[in-house]
Amino acid sequence: MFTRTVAALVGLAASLLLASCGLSDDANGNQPTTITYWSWVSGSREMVDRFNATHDDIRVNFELIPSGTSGGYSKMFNAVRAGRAPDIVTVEYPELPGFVTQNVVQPITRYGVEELAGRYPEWTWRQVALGGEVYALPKDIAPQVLFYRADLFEEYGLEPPATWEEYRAEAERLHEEHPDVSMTTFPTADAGLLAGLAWQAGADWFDTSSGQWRVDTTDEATRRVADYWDSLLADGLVTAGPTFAEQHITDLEAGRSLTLIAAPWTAANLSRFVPDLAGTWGVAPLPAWDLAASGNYGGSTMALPVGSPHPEEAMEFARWVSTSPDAIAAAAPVSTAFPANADLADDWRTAVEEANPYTHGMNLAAVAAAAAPTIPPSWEWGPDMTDGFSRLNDETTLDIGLPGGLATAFRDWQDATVDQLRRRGYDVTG
Amino acid sequence: MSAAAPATDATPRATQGTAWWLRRSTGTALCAIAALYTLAPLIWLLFGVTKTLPELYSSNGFSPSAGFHVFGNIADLFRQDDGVFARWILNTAVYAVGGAAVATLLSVAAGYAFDKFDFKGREKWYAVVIAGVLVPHTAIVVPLYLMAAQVRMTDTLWSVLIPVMVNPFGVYLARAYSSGAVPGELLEAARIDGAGELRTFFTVGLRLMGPGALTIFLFQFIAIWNNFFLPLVMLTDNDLFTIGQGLFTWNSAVGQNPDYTRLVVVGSAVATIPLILLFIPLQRRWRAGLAEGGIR
Amino acid sequence: MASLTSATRLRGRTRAARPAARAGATGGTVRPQRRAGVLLLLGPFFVLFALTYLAPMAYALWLSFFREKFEGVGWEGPQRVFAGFHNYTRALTDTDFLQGTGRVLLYGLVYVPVLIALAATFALLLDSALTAARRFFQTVLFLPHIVPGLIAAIVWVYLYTPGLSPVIDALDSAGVHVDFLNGGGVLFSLVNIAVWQALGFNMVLIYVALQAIPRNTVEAARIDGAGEIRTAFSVKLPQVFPAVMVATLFTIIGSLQLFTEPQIVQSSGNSSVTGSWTPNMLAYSAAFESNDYHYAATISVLIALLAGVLSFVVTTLANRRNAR
Repeated sequence: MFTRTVAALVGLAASLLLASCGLSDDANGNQPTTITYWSWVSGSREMVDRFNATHDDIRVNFELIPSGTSGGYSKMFNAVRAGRAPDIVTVEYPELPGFVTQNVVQPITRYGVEELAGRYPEWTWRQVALGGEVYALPKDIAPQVLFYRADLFEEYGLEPPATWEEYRAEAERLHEEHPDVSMTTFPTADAGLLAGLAWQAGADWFDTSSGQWRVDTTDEATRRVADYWDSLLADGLVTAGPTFAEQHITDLEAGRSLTLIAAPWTAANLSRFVPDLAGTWGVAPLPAWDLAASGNYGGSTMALPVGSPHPEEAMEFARWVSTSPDAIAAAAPVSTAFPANADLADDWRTAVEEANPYTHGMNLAAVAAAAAPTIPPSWEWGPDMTDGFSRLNDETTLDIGLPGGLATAFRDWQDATVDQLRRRGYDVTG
Repeated sequence: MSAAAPATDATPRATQGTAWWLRRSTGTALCAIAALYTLAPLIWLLFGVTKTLPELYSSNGFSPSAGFHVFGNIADLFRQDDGVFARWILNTAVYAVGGAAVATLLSVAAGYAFDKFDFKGREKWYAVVIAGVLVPHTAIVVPLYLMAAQVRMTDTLWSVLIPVMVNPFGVYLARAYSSGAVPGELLEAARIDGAGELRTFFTVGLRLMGPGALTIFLFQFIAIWNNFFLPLVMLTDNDLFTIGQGLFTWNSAVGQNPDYTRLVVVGSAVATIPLILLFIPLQRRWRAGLAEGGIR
Repeated sequence: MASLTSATRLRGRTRAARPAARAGATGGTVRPQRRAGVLLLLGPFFVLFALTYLAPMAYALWLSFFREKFEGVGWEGPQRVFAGFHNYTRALTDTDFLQGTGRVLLYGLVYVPVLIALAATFALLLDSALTAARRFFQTVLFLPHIVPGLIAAIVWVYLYTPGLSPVIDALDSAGVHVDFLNGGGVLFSLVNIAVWQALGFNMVLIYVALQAIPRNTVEAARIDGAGEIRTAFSVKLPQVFPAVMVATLFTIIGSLQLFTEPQIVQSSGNSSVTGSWTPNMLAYSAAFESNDYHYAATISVLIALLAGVLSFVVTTLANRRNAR
């Protein structure tokens, strides 16, 4: 009796195996070339659908992967290492240098992309052109802006602050008059945001101009940012907590958190997390230190992994994503990520206004377009930002809210980063 | 246990009536508390299936939804990402059933051989197997991945299937079980009849070891069903994912789309509840096999 | 079950004679046909065993003696160079690794005794006459073992998350504010998930052993006037000591594997659990986030080594007690 059971089980397993193999074998005649695109960026699927609807020679197969640092990048490493790379992938700006030094992506200079250089802000192009080769096409960027509750600002008699000094002054006033309302929720673990703020202040965390890596996350600009927020936190003028988590959403809905240091993509997030707040938001330039400047807080590129089976077709698709108004229009209903390509800024404004009523009256497009070119171009990213960001997040989670917490976090992070890069076999000075 | 004072043990038999009842109700109450603790998360999950996304956040977790959204939720689950969830269920079933079936057969054969044959270095070989029981699985997986990557085998069905076909603990159980359940005389009789060793194993040994084999099978089945690390490391192709890995992917995409929270809750329930129902009747036999094999 | 603990002794010099009956082993000369039989029956298992256990460990050992080196900025990609013990000194001076190991040991120190004590208690309760509806309780307590670990972790993390959790709501309304996902409490939150999952399984392991105790032994104790509780502790528990040891050994090895639960807690985004919170998470992030294969292999070797040492200590202690 038992042998029969085993036989039945083995039979069942075998048939399941066959069934599952059969499912993946789609007939592939001499139809268009099918390429695979890995991304998690919202709007990617819509872009792919539009591309497929308008192109006969190439078919793009979209695969949703976990967001980069929560598994997507690992997946790419795995795939490239195993010789099963997809044709084209999303890589964010901070991770691109690491992808280059680890031989995960390949140069795309030979596909004639340099002619496109002038269309992107200077800083953007410098971040995809590394060591004399171009490695990716910029898709979207994320100039930092300030989202504020226009309705409550009016009610409380506040103005969108032009400088960080004014921001603090208004936070103080708010704290006195409405102690249960906070100027913002400062994220406890958002290394990308901190990097953007330091970038705006003129920091250069990484530098390769000497031919080896130099790390400096405790320079004056970064310290200024750290001290500023440490003191706001210490005085109870802003709350600390994870953003877009339960508490934050409740606070946003209840009008207890008035501003968000954010980027254009945030608008779509807000429309999803707090749909009831439609029409209450305004967008202003990020408060400035000395000169008008912004930092970058997100964005992504289209990169060609090593071993991409159809590089030509993949690049054609990437070029379309990066330059076509059609792509912008397709993504607009679900995404408000700002195009890297400055030529597309107007198309973006029209498309987003039309497709996304949540953005009406925000003045998002004009503020974002003005902020994009003011981002300092000298900023570079290190060779292992996945690890770097997760370490910085760990440090800030630990230290935020303590006296001098952010300053401590940056100091510890500096040492840990230098140490880690050396251990990894990089040449590091400073 | 501390609730029942040991001092009552000394009381004479005559008064034991009430004390016995007191202790019995204490014992039962303790078990009931443990059962409540065990069931609470499962009940939360079950009620979660009936809820909409806002209800998951706002309503009491241990009460059902005001409306009834079970069918809508399940339909959404199987519709998400082109119905990939059904695919994940199928994959998990293939890995678990296929892996456990092969692992069982190999373990039973090996355990039987260790028990019934006297060969040179037998105990040394056996010690190597037992040492395998003590190696943490996770310490093997990363090197295994690196090896598989070298031969370009990652991201295939085999990369998750082959490693789970080996279960050293199964060999241990099978050896113990064989020595209790398979009388040597029966094998001798088969041999005298001229049956080869392999044939003797399949016709006599394997048949007698059936209940033990079922135990090993269920053991390994659950171990594979539970295994998150190996597929996480080996697989990148969404179409090859296990349920666990798929739900993990969704769970980490909640930042982009909060609705994934609902799908993860519903998906967890859909992946768990049928398995529980399936397992309750088998559980007793599993225990019986363990008893006969392990302890004499 | 006694034989697993004693068999592990074979790794040492002492060659414990297996008391179990060798029913079919006739001894003497082995006929060629028999040898072929052994080969056919053991061969497939050992081929796969070598492939999936021995080879990866050997490969990891080999990898752990190399490292990557970058020229200048490193745009040209890495070169592999011999590293000697660099990776090992790196691990032993890496605060992430050391803290992670410390955490896992602390976790084990809480988890193992709690789980084993609870499992033994409930096994004894269900074995005694002290409980009604024993079958029902057995089945119910066993259920979480069938729930995939990842799903268990996800559900518990929801139950730990403010806003989603009815538990936290209830505690809040009672005036108790608990943060399950941050600070020192998180260790206990993780222990709780693991206990929830493993309690039934370990209970059954011990219960099965209890059921095998000859009833007349128990009866004899009862006639001597021992109550249920005294019988449980002085008669039954010593008899199932080997089963308890096996459960302990498995639990210790299980706690060294700590990965899934903290990984889910970490990815929930509102916890103080970091990406390198346990050695396994560190190995994972080294291999898959930093692409640092040599270091990941080194950590795997060290985890296996730690498991070996702990198993050796536990089995030695168990055997010493057994010998008494």
